[in-house]
Amino acid sequence: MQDLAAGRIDFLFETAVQLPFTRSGNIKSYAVTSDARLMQAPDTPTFSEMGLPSFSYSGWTAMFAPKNVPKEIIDKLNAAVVEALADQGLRSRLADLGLEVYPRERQTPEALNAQRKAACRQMVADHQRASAAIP
Amino acid sequence: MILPIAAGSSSDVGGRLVAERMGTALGRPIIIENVPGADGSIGVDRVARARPDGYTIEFGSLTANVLNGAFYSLSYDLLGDLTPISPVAAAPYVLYAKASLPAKDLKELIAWLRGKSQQGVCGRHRGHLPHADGTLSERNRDPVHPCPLSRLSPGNAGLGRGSHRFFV
Repeated sequence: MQDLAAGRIDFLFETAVQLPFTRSGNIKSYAVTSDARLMQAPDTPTFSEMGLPSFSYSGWTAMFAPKNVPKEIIDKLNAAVVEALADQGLRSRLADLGLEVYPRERQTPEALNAQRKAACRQMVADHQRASAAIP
Repeated sequence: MILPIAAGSSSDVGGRLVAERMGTALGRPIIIENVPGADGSIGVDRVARARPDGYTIEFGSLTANVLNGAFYSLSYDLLGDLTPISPVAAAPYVLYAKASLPAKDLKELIAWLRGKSQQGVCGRHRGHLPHADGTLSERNRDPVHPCPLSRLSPGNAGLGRGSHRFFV
């Protein structure tokens, strides 16, 4: 980000935590990879709006345990995550860090399992596409 | 709670905030341990080998828990050795540019890249959403020169919060 501010590189993909930098006047933002515009940057369009829907793609954070943890313990930990993420104060502090809390219906072990498997499939597909592009 | 990242990054701060509020829900505090290194795979390994009693959990990520499978020969099974608890938050990306670039929007940026005799220079973090800038290169028949950067250092978090402008 400091290389961008100094003009040594032209552009950079970074998370929304760097948005306050755009107020300094050295850096601007062209588009966001989220499905909807970010509350912190209402004037920055999504890639989809700009005609590039394949750029709807985000990193994520998630809670994991080792294998073989009993289901009742996973459920108790899940309930603690759900209670924490219902806290508006916490959600707002996470948003400032570029972290957009998932809706309540996504906050399940099953949803995370599906999410990581989908990410694995995407990774393999991207790898194959990239390999095929090399002459 | 194992955080497979260095202290001070935005994910680290996020994990600590979630852990603090989870501790209230559970009625006991959660102790944080940062286990950085090898893009998170050392920390994930610690979790994968921990006693399965619920007292060791991980604040993981797309990078540590999926993408590392493409970059490393891992000592654990990314899917089989870890039990999901819950997704926490999405971390969308923003395409930032230096203010002096003439393009006013994304369409003008693509036109600018296509018309340029030299390549545009795009900073790139390894394991850090290689998808997006790679796709941009492809779409533009590669007028984009990737500039590899080191992983986010704790100093960057300070930059992001605006607490300091530069760090060495």
